[in-house]
Amino acid sequence: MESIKDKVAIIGMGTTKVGERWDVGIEELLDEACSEALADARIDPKEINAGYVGGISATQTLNRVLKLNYIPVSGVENACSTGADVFRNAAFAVASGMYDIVIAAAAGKQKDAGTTGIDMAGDPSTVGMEAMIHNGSVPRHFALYATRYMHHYGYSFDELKYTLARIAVKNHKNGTLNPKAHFQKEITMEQAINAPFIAWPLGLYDCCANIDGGACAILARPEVAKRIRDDYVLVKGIGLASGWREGRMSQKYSFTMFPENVLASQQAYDQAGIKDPVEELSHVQLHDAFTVNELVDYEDVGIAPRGKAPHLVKDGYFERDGKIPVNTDGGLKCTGHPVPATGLKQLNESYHQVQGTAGPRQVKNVRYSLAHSQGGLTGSFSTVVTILGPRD
Amino acid sequence: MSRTVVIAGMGCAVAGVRSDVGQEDLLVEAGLAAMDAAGIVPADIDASWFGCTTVSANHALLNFSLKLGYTPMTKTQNGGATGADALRGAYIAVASGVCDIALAAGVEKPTDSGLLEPAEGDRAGGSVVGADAVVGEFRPPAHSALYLTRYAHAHGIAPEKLRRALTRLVTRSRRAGSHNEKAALRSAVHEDDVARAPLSAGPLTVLDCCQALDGAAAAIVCSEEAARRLGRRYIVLEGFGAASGGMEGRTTQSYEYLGLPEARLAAQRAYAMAGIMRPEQEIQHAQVFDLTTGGELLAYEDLGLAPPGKAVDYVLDGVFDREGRTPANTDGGLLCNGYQAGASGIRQVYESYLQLTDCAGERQIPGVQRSLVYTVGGAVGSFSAFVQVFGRPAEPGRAAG
Repeated sequence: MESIKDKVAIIGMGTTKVGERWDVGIEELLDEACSEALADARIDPKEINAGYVGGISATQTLNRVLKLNYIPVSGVENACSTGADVFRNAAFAVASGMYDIVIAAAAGKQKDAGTTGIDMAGDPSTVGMEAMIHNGSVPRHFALYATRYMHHYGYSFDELKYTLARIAVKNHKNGTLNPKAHFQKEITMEQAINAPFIAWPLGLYDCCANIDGGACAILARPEVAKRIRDDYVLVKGIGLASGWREGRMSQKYSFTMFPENVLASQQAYDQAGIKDPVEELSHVQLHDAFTVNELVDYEDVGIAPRGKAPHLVKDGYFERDGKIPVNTDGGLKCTGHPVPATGLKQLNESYHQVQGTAGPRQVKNVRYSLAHSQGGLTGSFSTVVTILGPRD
Repeated sequence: MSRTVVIAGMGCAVAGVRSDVGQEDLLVEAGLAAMDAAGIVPADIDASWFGCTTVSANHALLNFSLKLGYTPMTKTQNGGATGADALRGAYIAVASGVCDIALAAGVEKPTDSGLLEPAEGDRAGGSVVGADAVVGEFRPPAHSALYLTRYAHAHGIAPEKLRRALTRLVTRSRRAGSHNEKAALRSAVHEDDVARAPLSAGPLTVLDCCQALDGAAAAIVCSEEAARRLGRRYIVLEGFGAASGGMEGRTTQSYEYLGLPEARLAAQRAYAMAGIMRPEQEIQHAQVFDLTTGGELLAYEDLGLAPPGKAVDYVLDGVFDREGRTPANTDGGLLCNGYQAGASGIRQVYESYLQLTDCAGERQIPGVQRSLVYTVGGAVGSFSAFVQVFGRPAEPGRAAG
């Protein structure tokens, strides 16, 4: 097996305005995101050789929206990490040598479902553990990790609430610099700590919004990228780990870490040649569907020691001006979670940070950025970790 | 492609109304057989591509069923061509070098839903109006009927002659399925049975159209180097092509309904990669997606296996019979094996794999050097077509099993 390092370049990316997009259909969301990416890449759609898409059941919709003239378009689904796996498959297509330029796009119209949040009606034939996993609400599911984390590492309820509130406040503050974000206002620690409970101990501000949006990346072979722009960004590593229900069946599942995160991160680090994430990563995007996710993710991806992340949060380690800025675009909490597109939206921020085009959100001296995207449920997560870096 | 891609082992579940098992069991049935054929264990798989339209990745169906641990798993999605898309994902990953050994697998249990017809068409979300609403409500037999009536008109083919050709395909496929222990329908039918069969969407009868039935299939895709190390018989992917329509067929007056541009393009791309100049002469076996016999008939022209306007004559001359020049759907096709969105594209390749490794038993066609597989999903004007061309390795490995 070979590493993907330096075999794939990103020449353009785009996202839609994320929010309650009653004004458009899913085709327009794709158009909005892809148009921005195409403009960024300065190419015509005719130059695209293959496409990968997530969030639409008829993959040919991408051909229709972009007038892609009969190029092959494949569909990818990987729950909440769909967008990142769309990117991963597109990257493989470029690395295979078969296609010069490949488009990766995804969009979600979560609000069209008519429910707020993900409808977990589940499969009527599931029983026992499977029923518990699939039926009911997603916040309830992740609350389990919060309570276990408190118990296992000996944090009080107040300490946990403080930590989670710091994360929510950070992401909302970061999001005010991101015009594409769903929410455009800061929140206070008091608001976050005292918010109504959604699933104890998670409150209103601990849970992201399932919302409408889309994102797009244009990938190219580095030789082709060189002809198009000087500041293309390189893929340094991609890892994916997919659960096999062990977490649902094993008595030893800790509920204080996500094995899929750990494995996928390690794969990406190995490919990128990163041995010391804390020193070598300049910027990180984590899948903060819930603030507790971000908390555990710090430890899973290796930028905080096990059980110690709350101390680092308190010290401002992950703030915009901290040691490793995390979710500088506002994360899922503030920008929203248009489910199939989120993974690509995460990557969009990493791309701009590495490229130096993140505007007011720009972190200084970014070399490597890690984007983490996590879909699924206990025991069946699919985590994609992508590391981007500059050309040498 | 950067390096040669091969299939080193395949497995296929028995198709039909499998009330005796769940999706997990079907995957075990197909997946274990594929791993056994290739001589590998689950830990050898670097990554997988999985097709199943009724579960989300949340269900960890593949990794759980085959005990794959935390092996990377991508769920593919492309309507009726979902299985072919899973194979393509595996091919590309192996070609790129990021995987040495990949699994492509698919499963569907449509009979659990209580329906027995393929539910094609696109439900992309959002509202559907106008031409989209009309076409979106059609079932595959109706789609096929549009093309057949236009085709017969354009080429001046009498309805009775067209009907005879379609009947020939039914009887040929049903006879083939009676020799396939994995098929769902294993009884031959006579021309008279077809003549008496109720119409589905004229000129197609219910016997011209497949059913949505339960099934699963799996393939171990790897580099040729890995296959040589494993030492089992393998088949070489000599070319593949894919094309997706952007709904031009629904929005332009000039769309001809004489075939699928997507299929023609996919075939051209596959032939270019495989270096095939004269498909009629260079391909000795074909698996042609037959949601309906009408779709199969027109596909022969799109694939260059019959000249334009000549598919009916070729069928009636027996070109695509078992004894003909290009035996097609020798496992009974979708007509006998049913339709599984996530698995059919892989199950089609299973027959090519058996033929090219000389393991097709009583179905073996002598002298097969190249086999073509054509899979399609989608709807009028917006199809996704996949064409794969397989050949034998230069030095064959040991027999499987």
